[in-house]
Amino acid sequence: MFVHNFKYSLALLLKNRQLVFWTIAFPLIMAVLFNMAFSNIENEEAFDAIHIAVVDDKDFHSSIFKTALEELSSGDDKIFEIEYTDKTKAQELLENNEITGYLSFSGDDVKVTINSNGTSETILCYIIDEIKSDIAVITEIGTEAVKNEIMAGNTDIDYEKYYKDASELVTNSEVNLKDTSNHHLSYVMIEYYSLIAMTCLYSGLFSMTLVNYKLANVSAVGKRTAVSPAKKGGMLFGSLAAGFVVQLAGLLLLFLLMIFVIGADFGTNLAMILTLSVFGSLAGLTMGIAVAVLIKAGENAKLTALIGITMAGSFLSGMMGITMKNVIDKNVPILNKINPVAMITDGFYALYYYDTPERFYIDLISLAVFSAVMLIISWGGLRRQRYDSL
Amino acid sequence: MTVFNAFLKVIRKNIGTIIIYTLILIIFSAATMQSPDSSGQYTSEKQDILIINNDKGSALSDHLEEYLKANTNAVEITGGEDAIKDALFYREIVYIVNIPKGYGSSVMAGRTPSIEVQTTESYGSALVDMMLTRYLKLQNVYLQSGADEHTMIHSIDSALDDKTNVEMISQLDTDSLSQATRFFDFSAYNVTACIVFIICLVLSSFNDIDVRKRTLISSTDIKKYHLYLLTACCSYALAVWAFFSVLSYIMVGDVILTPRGGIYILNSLVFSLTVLSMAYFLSTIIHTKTAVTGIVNVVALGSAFLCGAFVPAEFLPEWVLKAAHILPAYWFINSNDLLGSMETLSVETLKPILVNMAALLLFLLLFVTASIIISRKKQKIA
Repeated sequence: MFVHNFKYSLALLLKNRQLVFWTIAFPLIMAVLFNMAFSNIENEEAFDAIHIAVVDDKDFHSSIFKTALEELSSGDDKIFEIEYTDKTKAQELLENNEITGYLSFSGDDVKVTINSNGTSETILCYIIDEIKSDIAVITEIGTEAVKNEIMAGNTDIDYEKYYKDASELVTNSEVNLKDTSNHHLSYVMIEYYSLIAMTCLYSGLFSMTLVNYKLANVSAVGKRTAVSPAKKGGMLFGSLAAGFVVQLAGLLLLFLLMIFVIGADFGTNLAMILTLSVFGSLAGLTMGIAVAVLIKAGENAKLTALIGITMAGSFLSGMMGITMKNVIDKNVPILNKINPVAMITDGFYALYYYDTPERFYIDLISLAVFSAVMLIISWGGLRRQRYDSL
Repeated sequence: MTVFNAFLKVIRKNIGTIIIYTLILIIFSAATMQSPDSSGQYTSEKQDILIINNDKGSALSDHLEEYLKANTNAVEITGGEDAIKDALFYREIVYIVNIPKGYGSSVMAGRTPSIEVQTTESYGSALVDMMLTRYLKLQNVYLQSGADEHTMIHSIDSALDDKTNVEMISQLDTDSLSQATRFFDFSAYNVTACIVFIICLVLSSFNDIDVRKRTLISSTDIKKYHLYLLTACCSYALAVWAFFSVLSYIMVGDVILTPRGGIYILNSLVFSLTVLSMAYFLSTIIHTKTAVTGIVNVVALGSAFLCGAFVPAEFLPEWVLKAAHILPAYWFINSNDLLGSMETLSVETLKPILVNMAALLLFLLLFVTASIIISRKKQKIA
């Protein structure tokens, strides 16, 4: 009975075009769309040289800023990309938003002209402040040194040398910052994780469709099954196994696409990733059974309910906006503790970003508990059903 | 009247879906809401960072903390190590500075103890990095020139006080404009979903082969029938447009009532009509109601992702934007983006927007022609 049901359930699921679209094709399409939309966003966010213009006149050439600006705009880790031009052109570039701002010089003073407030603008102004204050510091230290020499009664003073020393002191001053950043910082990954989580939960569509075929109060097939002497447990188990196999095949396709075509980063532990996906799919499968059994309504209403729950869960775990997961985790943690989509997303996040496995195992256990609860509450509705008439 | 009634019936049945799309738009625009800033003055942008000072009580460490607090937006994070890690991952903070115990005394003893930092490698964290580096450099310089702790702190303060003369040329209220732009960009998704979903559902009922046959042999004037259908579809699209326009005023505010706001609204009208023609075209090739949900999701989400409704167009890869030219939403969003940064409105500056609208109208023409050709063919079969 198990094999028979397995075979026919498989055929039933694969021939249902709507089902195949939502559970297999839709996640694949979403993955491709995510990739197209998000592949560049973190490159744009990462710091890159800021485009500015410098009004190239005689005041600039005699300015002490000249060398500093040249230094800042050369080398691999340059901060500025400078266009040397006249004032009209600089103004035009700024108005067309092609540069962040431009510098103009008069005497020893500099003026920064920008379009609006923003991070790049702040960086530009900050660096110009810094150059200005460095020059002031060099003058201050040089003057102090010269003053000390004079006080000491020394008359033969090499002024150049003192200022040069001060300048070297300022430019060669080493700073000891230890960068311990985690390099797994790509928050776009959360999008992919929540997409996988959604796909896992969509396995509920399979189990729901299959359970509907077994319910006497939903379908004609269900009525026939109910009056037949066949063992219901074996039949149901065979059907669900078929659903699980189709689900895993769909997930495998999604993983292949994500890893080999899109290049999503799942960390290094493949075994853990697969375990999490299997647990996630089980959670989806059991939730589908629960919805099919507990909601006493037509097939369409059940379908809407299941998709609704999955979508709401995906929304709360960050699929439509990455920060949503963090907002919920911080403010209403209980919501994501009972949300199976968030458990799966969080498990992937823990694998990707955390060095220790505790958080991952907590997510895994939560999924197992969720599945068990779903099964227990479906149990009562599935066994020993008797109808006097239907 | 029958046609209108059928329309209303479909809308009533699917009101839940329409409400969900509307709610998504409201949540999105509320989330991107910023307090308006129209001062026209330069203000430095403060980054959110976390300062962990393990050396409280040391004048030098406390001064560093004070300096960072004055120039950034120092936030408190409760919930221990994991909460801090999460905050950095979700860009709640862009930088963590960890001043070690004994830092101040170690510096005064002539050593250069390390300060542990964590960054998100973004523009914001680069800025904080520059601030910190500048401070530590000055500290070094004054230390090496032999200053004591008190003089050092004083000298650092006066050196950091140097500010450059900054002029800001744009007098635009960039914050409310960018909010309006984001609202209309995002609305491309909602307008497409609401119009295509309902129109396709209604028309698939009318296009049902049996219904078509009955209509064709009935005494109804076929021209009038099409006219009614067209009027009903147009009224629905206009209603959707009007609804989102009112919503834009509620969410974005007075900018919508300026001439610039008028162009946003006009652009949205042209787009709504183009989407209507696209829906009409799709309904001629979709045969079953169950397929409608799938197609709507793919069309609406697809064009929203590729044209810059969800992720601003400036962040999209160039090839994606190039490919997006074949979708109407691209032209609509491009006009919104132009409007958001345009300094003055004149015939000359509005030219690209007019070109975009012309492109949208061309799409409209294309969809209508294609629908007519296909339905003519179908009629013969029927």
